[in-house]
Amino acid sequence: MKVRGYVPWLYLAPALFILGVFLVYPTVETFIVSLYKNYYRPDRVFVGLANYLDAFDDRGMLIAFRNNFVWLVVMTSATVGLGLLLAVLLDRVRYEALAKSVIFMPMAISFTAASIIWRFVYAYRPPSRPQIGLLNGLLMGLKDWANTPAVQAALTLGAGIFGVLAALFWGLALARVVAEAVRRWRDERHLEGLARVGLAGFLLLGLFYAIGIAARPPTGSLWEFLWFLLAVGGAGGLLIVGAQDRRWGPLFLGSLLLALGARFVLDQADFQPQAWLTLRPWVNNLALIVAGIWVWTGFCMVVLSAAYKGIPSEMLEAARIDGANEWQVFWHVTVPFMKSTLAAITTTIIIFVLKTFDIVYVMTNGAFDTEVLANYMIRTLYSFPPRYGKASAVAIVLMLLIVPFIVINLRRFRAQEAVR
Amino acid sequence: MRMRRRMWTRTLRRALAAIPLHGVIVTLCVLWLTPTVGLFITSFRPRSAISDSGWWTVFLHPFEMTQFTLENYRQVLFENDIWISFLNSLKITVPSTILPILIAAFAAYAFAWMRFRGRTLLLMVVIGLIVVPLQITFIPLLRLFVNLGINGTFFGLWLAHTGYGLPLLVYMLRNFIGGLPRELFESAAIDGASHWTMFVRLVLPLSVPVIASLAIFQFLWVWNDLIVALIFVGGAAQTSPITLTIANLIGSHGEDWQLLTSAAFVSMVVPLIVFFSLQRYFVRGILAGSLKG
Amino acid sequence: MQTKRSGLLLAVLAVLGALLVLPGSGTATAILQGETITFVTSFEGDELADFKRVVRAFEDQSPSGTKVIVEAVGRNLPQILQTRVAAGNPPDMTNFPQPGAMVEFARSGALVPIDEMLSRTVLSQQPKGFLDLGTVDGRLYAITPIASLKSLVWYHKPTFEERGYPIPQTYEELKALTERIAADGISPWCIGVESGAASGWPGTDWMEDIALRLYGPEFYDAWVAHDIPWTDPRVKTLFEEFLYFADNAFGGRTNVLATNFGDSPNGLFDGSCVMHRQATFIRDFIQRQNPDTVAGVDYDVFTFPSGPAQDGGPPPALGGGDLFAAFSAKPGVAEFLNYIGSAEAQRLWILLNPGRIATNTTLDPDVVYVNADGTPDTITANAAKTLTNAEVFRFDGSDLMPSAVGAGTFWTAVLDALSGKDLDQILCEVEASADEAYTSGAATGPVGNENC
Repeated sequence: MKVRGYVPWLYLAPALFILGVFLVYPTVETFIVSLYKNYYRPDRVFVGLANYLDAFDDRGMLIAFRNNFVWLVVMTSATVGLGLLLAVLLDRVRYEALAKSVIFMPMAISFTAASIIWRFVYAYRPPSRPQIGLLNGLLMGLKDWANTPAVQAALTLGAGIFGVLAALFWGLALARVVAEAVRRWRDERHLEGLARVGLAGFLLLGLFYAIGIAARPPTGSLWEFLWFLLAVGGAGGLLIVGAQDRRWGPLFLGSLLLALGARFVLDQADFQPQAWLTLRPWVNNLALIVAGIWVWTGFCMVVLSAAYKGIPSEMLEAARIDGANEWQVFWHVTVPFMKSTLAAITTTIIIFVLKTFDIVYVMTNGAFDTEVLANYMIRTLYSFPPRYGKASAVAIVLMLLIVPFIVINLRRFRAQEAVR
Repeated sequence: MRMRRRMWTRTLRRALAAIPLHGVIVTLCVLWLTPTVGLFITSFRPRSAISDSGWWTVFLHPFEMTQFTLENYRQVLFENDIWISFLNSLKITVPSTILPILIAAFAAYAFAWMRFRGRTLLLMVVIGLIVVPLQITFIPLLRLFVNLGINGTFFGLWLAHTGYGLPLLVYMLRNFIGGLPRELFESAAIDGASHWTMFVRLVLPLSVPVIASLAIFQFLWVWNDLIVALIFVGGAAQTSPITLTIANLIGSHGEDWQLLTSAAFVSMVVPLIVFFSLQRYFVRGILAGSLKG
Repeated sequence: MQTKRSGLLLAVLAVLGALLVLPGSGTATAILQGETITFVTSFEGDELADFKRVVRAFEDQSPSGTKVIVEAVGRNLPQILQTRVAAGNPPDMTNFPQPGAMVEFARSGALVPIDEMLSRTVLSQQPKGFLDLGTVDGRLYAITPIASLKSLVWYHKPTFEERGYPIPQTYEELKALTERIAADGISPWCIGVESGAASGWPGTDWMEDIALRLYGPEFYDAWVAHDIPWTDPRVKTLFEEFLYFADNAFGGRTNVLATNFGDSPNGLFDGSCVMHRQATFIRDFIQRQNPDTVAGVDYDVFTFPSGPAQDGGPPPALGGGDLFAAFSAKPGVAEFLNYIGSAEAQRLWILLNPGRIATNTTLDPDVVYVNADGTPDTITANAAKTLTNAEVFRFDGSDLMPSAVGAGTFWTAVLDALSGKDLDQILCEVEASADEAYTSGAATGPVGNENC
């Protein structure tokens, strides 16, 4: 569209000016501050990258890194996954608008109020006193129920039967995967054979995971991290196998879950109320993340719902007529069609997750190893004696972490712009 | 006869198949509502009751009114000049919503439909500014404000919120405005319309739904903010927004759940009203139009 | 359509315009007759309400018509102060719950000395211990009008009388009593360290009291100033002593970890335990959560007894308080400081809530401390006497240390210790953070800790 040279700049000027003053200038200053010690005081001294090295040497910062990673993986997948699920499901019911309002509502309340709500859910009272937190209340109720003799007997039996079944199906699934691997290998389809071997490996990891639930890892953060990787790998493996191996996979998964569930209830029949926010390293982080999921899922759902409704119904109908079941329609028609929206919302959520600080600040302020980078930065910035340099270094590091996700988002712009 | 039986079984089967669907949805909705419901019920219970029993026990005797009290709300609402804070929140939030959206709309239009050198790069920078965490801007900006003499004023706060909100708003608005049909502009250009005319007569009216939903988003965000107001305006009671007043109500010692819960609800009232009365803009997914691929 | 839209636009602009013109949208500080000073405070809830009443009393009696604008910022105090000082826009006054922060600001030149501002009378009425606390490099920067005593043990009187438990006079006797009560099948102690973002602080109070009793004030000072490293075996003993008491607390270590500090004293009244070590402020909690109990009848207090370091002398007093300091030298500031340090202001303040101790030395404890019903509040009166008559007085150690340690790694060390983590490793980590956070102290710097 033809324009006189200066016209665009007229439209852009207010925005660019404000952004320059309010965001660019502080960022530049933060970078400069990170290269000094005590920048805002008379005794400032240039130290180059020393603050950055200092930061990485700090156990508190490493914990914050780990937690940010956990937040990233769990919260993003949960909010986008739940949002997608809700978008698809709600499309089929008449009370869609009402349900959407319910799920979206947490976005309307401040993070402080949300944190108060969830702190109340997690509230702890000593075992001798009545529980006032919802989670502990449910736990105590479950305990009373699980301790009745009839339920005890049923659970023991169930744990036994399902445990045996799980082992059976596991064996069958494993055998099937191995057989397929061998067959592919023999057919010279080495790559697919290798893939099947990988799947068998995942099944094995899955078994570790099941065992790992009961065992406690040795103390020391490296061990914990390895266990965590194993658990994640195992859980992932279970899911993949369950989805891939259509005959025995789901049965194995189902019976495994039931057995574990029964076992868990039995073992915990002496339930005690827990101070959820003090249980580290995973429970309390998860508790905080759940609060975040509660707030943000509505946002994802709304965005994905619009994209879902944008899918031409002929495509879905055609797939259904061709005999595809709902699951296949979902994976092979719905998801590919919504790919770009999914990408956009995922990166947006990732950015918000990495900037998260309110929830942690209000609920625990990083106590019990729940620290996240944004909160860590603030605490460092405002401690006494103030460590502006180190805090600024942490801020720059945080921003650099987020940048790749922005780049992904922006690359799509590039592609779009090229077409215009 | 057989026809009717077949129709019966078909409807029955459909109903049965629908049960998991409704089951999942209803379960999720109940899960979502429960924490808030717990908070709401607790805000009406006296302190002694809260520490003696879980809030779910009120359902054992749902109509026994003696287990409820309005004392908590009385304390929150009538003892702390909360009405001044309410007015302050309005004074802070309304301009902080209108200003950024106006400015973002102009910029978004330029990015969407005007061609100029460096457009892509500039756009990427603007959107890239989303990564900047708020807290690092406080000291440099406050220094600037002090030098300009605008610290402690609402005006400075409006500008700050505008700055913080712009990247995301420009991003979303540009997506939407860029998605408008090209022919619209082309035919208007042929008719001799200038950019200004197209912007005011064409783009703005068409963008009302998106602008409305973004305005709600920005409104909620600014209304619920505490720390930005605290830094740029200060904590004096006369100029505190409602979030600050309520935060100060809650003692630093221990867990006064009866005050915490009622204060939380009072702080939630306006956002919830705004949300429920305008939720169709969100729920119909118009917001999403700006995030489509 | 057009008119509707332009109508909407006009309405929006009108609202904007109205808001700009409405009063209050301009500067936050009002222009009044007398001078106006700003006071940024961390007080919240009831404390804030009480403080505001004292402020109003000040304004009412101020001869020059000085007004005080109280800006309540809650736990964001460090953030607000740092930002405003760095931005060249400090408030006129503030209260420091942590002397360490006050020292920091004083050394960097942000605070103004107040020794010239205080009148001779008021100055002479401040207790020496607190004056020393507010002195940095020879000049006075802050006074402490209201304080608390921390070395107190609250106990369930009926059980003590019923079972004939003696009030222990020494630290050894206290431990012996703990053993005896445990042998009777009752949990001797109620301890709770959970406190949201500040979890762990009650444990630090325990250890500071024990430090004064086992090793004395010189050790305590050296420990707080980081002249001795955290890996010193005596520091390890402090942790071990605390864990001993935690093991003898209701529910053991896990319950100590999980229980909120404000909830823990309730165990005294439901049969869970018989003793609870906590500062004077807990009185308010006990009354509110157990309104039917009567001080002196259902519960009473004895001072945490002396240890080997006192060699037969009276118990040392561990205390806390808020230091009031000034960033500017306006006349209104001097006026307020003189008011808040005077007996009149403090008498009013302590009337508003039980458990606070006024530091003005002209106040007679037996007279000024009264309960809400008018009866003398012997518990607080005795605490006040203990505080003023203490041979050895020390301020809460964790509040004196740099915040990265005192409000950071020391707290998490308590939590880690209760979780069963190896003590040597915990101490190494605290030492590492101390090395970084302290700017002075003989043990600061990469001196190298062999066991780490």
